[in-house]
Amino acid sequence: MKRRSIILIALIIIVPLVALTWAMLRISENEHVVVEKRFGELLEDRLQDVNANVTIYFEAAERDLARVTALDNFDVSNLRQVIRTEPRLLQLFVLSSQGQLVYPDPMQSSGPLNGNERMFLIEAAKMFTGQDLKEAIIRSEQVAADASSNVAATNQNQNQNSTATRGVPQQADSSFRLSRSQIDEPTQQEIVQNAYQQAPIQNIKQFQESSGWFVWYWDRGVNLIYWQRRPSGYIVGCALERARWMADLIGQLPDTVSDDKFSSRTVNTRIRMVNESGESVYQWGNFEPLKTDSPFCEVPVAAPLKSWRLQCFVPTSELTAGTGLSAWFSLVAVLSAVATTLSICGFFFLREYARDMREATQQVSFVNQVSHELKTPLTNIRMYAELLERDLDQVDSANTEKPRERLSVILSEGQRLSRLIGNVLTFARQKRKTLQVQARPEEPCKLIHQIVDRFRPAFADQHIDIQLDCSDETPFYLDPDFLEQILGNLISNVEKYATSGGLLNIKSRVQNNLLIIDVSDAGPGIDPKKRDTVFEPFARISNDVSYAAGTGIGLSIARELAQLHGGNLVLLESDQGCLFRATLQNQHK
Amino acid sequence: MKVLIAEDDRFTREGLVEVLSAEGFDVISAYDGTQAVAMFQLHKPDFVCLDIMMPSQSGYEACRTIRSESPDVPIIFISAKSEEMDRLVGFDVGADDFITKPFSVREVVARVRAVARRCHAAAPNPPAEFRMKDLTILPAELRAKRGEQIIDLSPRDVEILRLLAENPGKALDRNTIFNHAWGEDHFPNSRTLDQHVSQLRKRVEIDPRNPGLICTVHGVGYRYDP
Repeated sequence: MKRRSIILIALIIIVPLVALTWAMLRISENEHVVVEKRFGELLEDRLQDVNANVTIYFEAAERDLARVTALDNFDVSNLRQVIRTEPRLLQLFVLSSQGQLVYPDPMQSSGPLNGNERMFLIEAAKMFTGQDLKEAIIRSEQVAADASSNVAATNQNQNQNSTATRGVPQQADSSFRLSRSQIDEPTQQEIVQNAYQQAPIQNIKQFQESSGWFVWYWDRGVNLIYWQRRPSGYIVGCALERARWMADLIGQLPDTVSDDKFSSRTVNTRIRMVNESGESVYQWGNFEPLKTDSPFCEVPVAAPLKSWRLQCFVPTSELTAGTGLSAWFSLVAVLSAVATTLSICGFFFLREYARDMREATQQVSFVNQVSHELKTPLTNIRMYAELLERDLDQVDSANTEKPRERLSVILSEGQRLSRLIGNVLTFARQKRKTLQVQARPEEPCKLIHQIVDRFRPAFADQHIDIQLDCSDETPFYLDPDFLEQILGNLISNVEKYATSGGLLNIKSRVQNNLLIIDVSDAGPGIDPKKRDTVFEPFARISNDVSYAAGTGIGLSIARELAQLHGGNLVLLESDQGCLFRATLQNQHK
Repeated sequence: MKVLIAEDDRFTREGLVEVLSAEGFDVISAYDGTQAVAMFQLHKPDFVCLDIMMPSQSGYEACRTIRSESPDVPIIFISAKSEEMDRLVGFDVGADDFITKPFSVREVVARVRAVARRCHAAAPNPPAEFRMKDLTILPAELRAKRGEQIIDLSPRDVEILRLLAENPGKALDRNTIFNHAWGEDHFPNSRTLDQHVSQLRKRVEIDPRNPGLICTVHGVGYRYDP
């Protein structure tokens, strides 16, 4: 019983706590997801702010370049003059409405090209003609190098001069370079002319709008071209100096130190602009991510640099800051409060339960004590009645008939009282689970006769005929008290409830190590609906006051005893009255 | 055979004294455990019946003391306590049997006879058996045998049969038989003797209506004709 109550209390406290913990963890988890999402949105807003700066820069550049390229005089000297005066420009180009490259003219119909123009034609060949001239130029370079070292030396001088004149810095990330001297080789010139002759301008459809940006890749770097269609139908475009526009763009972005409007916020971040190859172009913010860290969020850079991306890195501690220690603290606090409340409730419940149990035990103990106390007077009543019976044997039998009848009533009632007390005590023992079989070798038939004989006077008075059929005298290991109580209760029931039948039939036999006793009567029987409940304690056929008296524990005890003895007590189907079958197992080991 | 009964309830005690005296036992009684131990030491009875719950000293304690002084004396507990544990403690302190209240007189007599028989049979010099026609009387076992049939006897039955067997063909008057079986202390009562003989005949005679062992000598008493 103690173990059961501990389990009960544990369930009362632990189950709600576990459920609450689970619910709180789920809520915390959801909250974490929500916080992360909101944080992501916030950071994305920041990246869009950066993008807005990029857009502003390119819009301003677009306005400037629209003015610069608003040219209608395509004289080569005029165009070269524009390039010289505008440091942002790498090269200008003019396309006719049919897609013919007017400047720089690959055919050199209006005079020889300068180095920048030649280089532009080679670099832009892929954009204009779809042909990559790099391979062909490298091959011609090798031929030229083999041809003459003298010529090569001259070419080198020219290259230096040309570079100094242009004043344009070399591209730092370029692994492949074309020297101006190589382009001067007639072979290379032929390659360029052939390329532009064979293939007309393929990407003319790119320039169908009135103006716009065009992105063109060369030598592992992005190159920007701005163009506009002039009223005359000519398209004037310019390739921008990469170092210059990148420097200008970065000038629009926050400094690498943390005094910008983004990093001055409480959250430590690192924002990184990466190019189409995933290489960092520029970054700022206090946080130093590891190389293996992946960005928390990223967005593409605004047009025309759509192939570039803006990435934001955040330390994981920033993400859990809102739901970290404080969340755990509140979880533990709530759980502690609930656990304390439940423990107090459990304690009170257990105390009440223990008190009820104690009272119940005291009641059982009281009944037990009273039953024991009843035994002594009952012993005396029975013993003195028997002694009186003996005394009557010694006097004249003619005058003792009436006293003998009265004595037999005292004796049979004494036996009945003994049975009742025995039932109450057995019931109490059954509740305390202290019933045990005390088997010894007995002759079942002899015992059954003794038990039945005690009922004979009472049955004779009620005109109930007793038919006893047992003849087996083989010793059988059983507990005589068990047999007496089982059979006594069954016969007593016949005496109480089935006197109208006028018959008690007892058949006993030993079969397969089992003592089988059938007790049947010719009384009114038991309602089929109540057949299943007759063995339950306190179950009575009728509580009508006119019905026979009884405690309602007799059959319950009889069945319990039979089962403890390795057998059972069942109510069998019968044509008339009741037929109970008790089985007891031989306890001989 | 001397029996000591220790029982605190006066009526139970007196009833048991009467029942066992009627069986032919020489009965002495005590009303608590201490007195029981004192009487045991004084009278050295052959047999002890103890109640468990008694004032001054419980039956268990008394049993332990008696057992320590006399390991062989038969001891029976007669008690209202019928729990498994009570019985186990009873046997543990040295009891030979356990009778629970409420008991029937027949049960007590049968149990006492059985325990007495076991102890007598184990005694070093058991009383010799004797024959009366086809009946063999076994005083040590408080039993008689006729072929396969076994008949239970009380010490008083044995004494009556022994007196008759030792005086074959001789008519013995009622007072002689009474004094022999009941003792000088009892007031002779011919009705009691006749009643007893009548009950005895039902057990030992083949036909109680025409007795072959205990014949009535009208106006005198009884006679055994071998």
